[in-house]
Amino acid sequence: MKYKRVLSALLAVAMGVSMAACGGSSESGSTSASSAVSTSQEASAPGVGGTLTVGLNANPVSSNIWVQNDLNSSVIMNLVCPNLVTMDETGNKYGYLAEATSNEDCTQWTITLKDLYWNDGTPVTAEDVAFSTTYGVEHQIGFFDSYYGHVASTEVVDDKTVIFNLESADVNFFNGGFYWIPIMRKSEFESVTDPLNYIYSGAGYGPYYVDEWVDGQYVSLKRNPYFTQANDGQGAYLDNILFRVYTDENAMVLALENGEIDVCANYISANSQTQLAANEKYLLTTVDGLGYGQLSYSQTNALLQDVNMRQAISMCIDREALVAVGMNGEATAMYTPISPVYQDFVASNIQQPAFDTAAAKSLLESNGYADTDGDGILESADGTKASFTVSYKTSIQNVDNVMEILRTGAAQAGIELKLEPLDASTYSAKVTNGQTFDISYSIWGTIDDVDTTLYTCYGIGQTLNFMQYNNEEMDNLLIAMKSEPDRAKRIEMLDQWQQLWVDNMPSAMTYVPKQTYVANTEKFAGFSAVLGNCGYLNCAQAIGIYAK
Amino acid sequence: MSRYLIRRILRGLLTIFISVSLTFFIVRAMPSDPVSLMVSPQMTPEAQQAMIEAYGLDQPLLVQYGKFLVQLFQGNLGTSFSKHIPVTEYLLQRLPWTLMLLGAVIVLVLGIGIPVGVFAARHRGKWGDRVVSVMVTLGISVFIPFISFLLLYLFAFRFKVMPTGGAYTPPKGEGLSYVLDVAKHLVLPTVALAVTNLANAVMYTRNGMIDVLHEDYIRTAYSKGNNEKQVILHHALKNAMIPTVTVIGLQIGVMVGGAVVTETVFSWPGVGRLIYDAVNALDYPVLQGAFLLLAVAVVVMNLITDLVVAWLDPRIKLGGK
Repeated sequence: MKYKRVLSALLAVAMGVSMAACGGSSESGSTSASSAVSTSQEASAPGVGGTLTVGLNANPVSSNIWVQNDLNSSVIMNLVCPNLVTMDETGNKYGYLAEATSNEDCTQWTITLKDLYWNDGTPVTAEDVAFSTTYGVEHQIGFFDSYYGHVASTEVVDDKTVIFNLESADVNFFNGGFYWIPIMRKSEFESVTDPLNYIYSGAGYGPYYVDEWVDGQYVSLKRNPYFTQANDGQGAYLDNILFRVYTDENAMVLALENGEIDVCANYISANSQTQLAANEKYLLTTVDGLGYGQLSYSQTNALLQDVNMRQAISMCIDREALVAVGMNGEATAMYTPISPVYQDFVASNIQQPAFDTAAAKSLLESNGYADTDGDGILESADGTKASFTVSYKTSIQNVDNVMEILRTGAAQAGIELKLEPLDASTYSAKVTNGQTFDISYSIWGTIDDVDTTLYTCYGIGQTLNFMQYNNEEMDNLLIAMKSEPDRAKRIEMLDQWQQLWVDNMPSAMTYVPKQTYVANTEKFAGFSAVLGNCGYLNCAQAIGIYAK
Repeated sequence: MSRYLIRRILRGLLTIFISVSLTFFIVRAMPSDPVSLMVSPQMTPEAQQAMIEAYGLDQPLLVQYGKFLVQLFQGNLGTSFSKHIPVTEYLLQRLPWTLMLLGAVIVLVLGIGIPVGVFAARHRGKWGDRVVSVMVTLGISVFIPFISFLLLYLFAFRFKVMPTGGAYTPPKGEGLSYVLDVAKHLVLPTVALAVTNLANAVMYTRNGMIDVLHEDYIRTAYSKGNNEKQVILHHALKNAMIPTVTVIGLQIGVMVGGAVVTETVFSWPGVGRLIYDAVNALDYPVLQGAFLLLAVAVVVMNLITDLVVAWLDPRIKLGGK
């Protein structure tokens, strides 16, 4: 008996310790949610030097960033070969390492590079820019064809200027491809016949270049001494950035706490935030993501072809509960059809139907729906029950809570939502590829350039219009926007489109997930994060990090 | 003996063939493919098709299987979909780390498990045996991620005497300092992975030893004037080890395929983490290569175990004659 008591006590201690290690700390503490640099970062004047150690939550696959698009490789390579275009805190893109002008109808773009040099001192030239676009299209690499497939010809005007002549107008030509695809080095790639299997040298025209890439373990970047586009011509402050891989988030947070790493490249969970928030040496910065949650109504379901049904379901979405309870506050409610991240595009404040389950039920009842058998579920005039399966990926953050809130809201209006959690592969097969679903719930990764990208999601027959929505009036507006050079007019057209969208509700938006990044400010300062997936390590911000 | 070996090798090859074939079809039976995971709003259907063709996924399944077998007989495991390097090269990069972890685990399991098992058997029913039995029960039932995080919390975070993850502190050092650094990184994953295996080794050795100590030949050995140490070392241990060797041999075979959970939690760059990454990326060739490695390891370890058991107990005739 005595042994049992001792054993029980030991087990209780061990479990308590382990729970704490797993991030389940019971300590209370508010998470800092600011994009400003905290006072704990203030230090002496920044200078060159120091090695910043960064934790990654997965193995970065390859430095050949043109064919490989995993997030961690992108985070690393955005410091080596940054994109010419980046995004500011209001969701607007701007020319970071180049400037661009277009002719009136946006069929000709002139791009002028700033002073950029590879880490061996040779300049980045207009030839490199022109080569990148043609090489990528010719070799059918990833997204190249989407962005540059309509380039009719390129003219290299001088070392820094290149003109792109397009087959069709493209208002986002510069903001599109040059935000996503970095420049390729012509002298390196022109002899490469198989770019898919090519191992990139790691040369950089950004603030750093790849010194060592040890698969599965670490990546070491060294400062590019020829990079002058930062800190009044000084270039980056840090001498080295060392990326280490911690495939488990709890292990990565422990590594941050014991000083093995200085910053986490990836955003961290609410549990980890709670664990770190109480200690002021950790700077936690929260930014909105570039994606959002979306309920998509398949037009293959007869009841969902009825706009009243789509409106009613949309009125059952309690966004406040989704954010506060479903997402533990780690999201921003999305009342507009377009993400509030893109401030210019939601200035009109056209809103989705408000949460009102009673009104939703009345709407359906006034359009012929009734609960004839008393089971709490409405039926249409032909007896079909308002019962739908909602397919969603299990990998979505807090998805069980979110789904339960959606299901409960719909039930109050007499609509049954049957939940169908799926792994990523099955979801792709059933929803995005198979298009055999009733309602799907997904979190878009990044939807940028909404004035042109929305066509891919809602255009008739478009790849991501897996709900098979078909509305010619909305389609025509989206198509017209793609060739309207005047941004103000595009915003006006987008407002019209948003109003049509709200009237028709082909889908419903829920929230924008927040992303919270953490850094230890004991040894380093100058951390700031903007919209995007790179957190503190977005190139335009990372160049401001310095050793105290 | 040689006929037995040939028969076992042929049976092993058949097992490997069936295993790799099943793996080939199972990974493709998953309801998606690597390309669908990479689809994004910015990618044209043409680019998607180009990617499918590049991966050879546009071919009928049987054609893919035929090509896979031809390549396999040529020693070519294909190219990783995500890493774009030959799978053999990829596996060979990771295998030494897994073998190192495995070696450390075996040393720990044999070095501690057998003496403790013998100790428990010699003190059967006494206080020492009871403590060992409790520890064995805990060791067998412990959840590996639980013990992994407990070790990390205590030794990496609380006492700060061990690193949190990786195989060494970058950049890679040289000489003795590098060896010591790797050894330090090896400690926690080894302990975490050894716990269950160690408990099994103790349990089988203890039980085997208890059985053997009741045999007539042990009484005969005592009657010849041998002391307890001589009897245990020269007469009992060899026979008592048979079940232990059998169990450990099979476990080693499985572990070569990768201790997925342990390697993932401790960021150990071995085959286990490779499998974890490959599943996430639906990297078929890497998964096939890793499972081939697992099948070969299990078959080889089975054979070695049989040979060792036959050596331990000459009464066991290989081939059953």
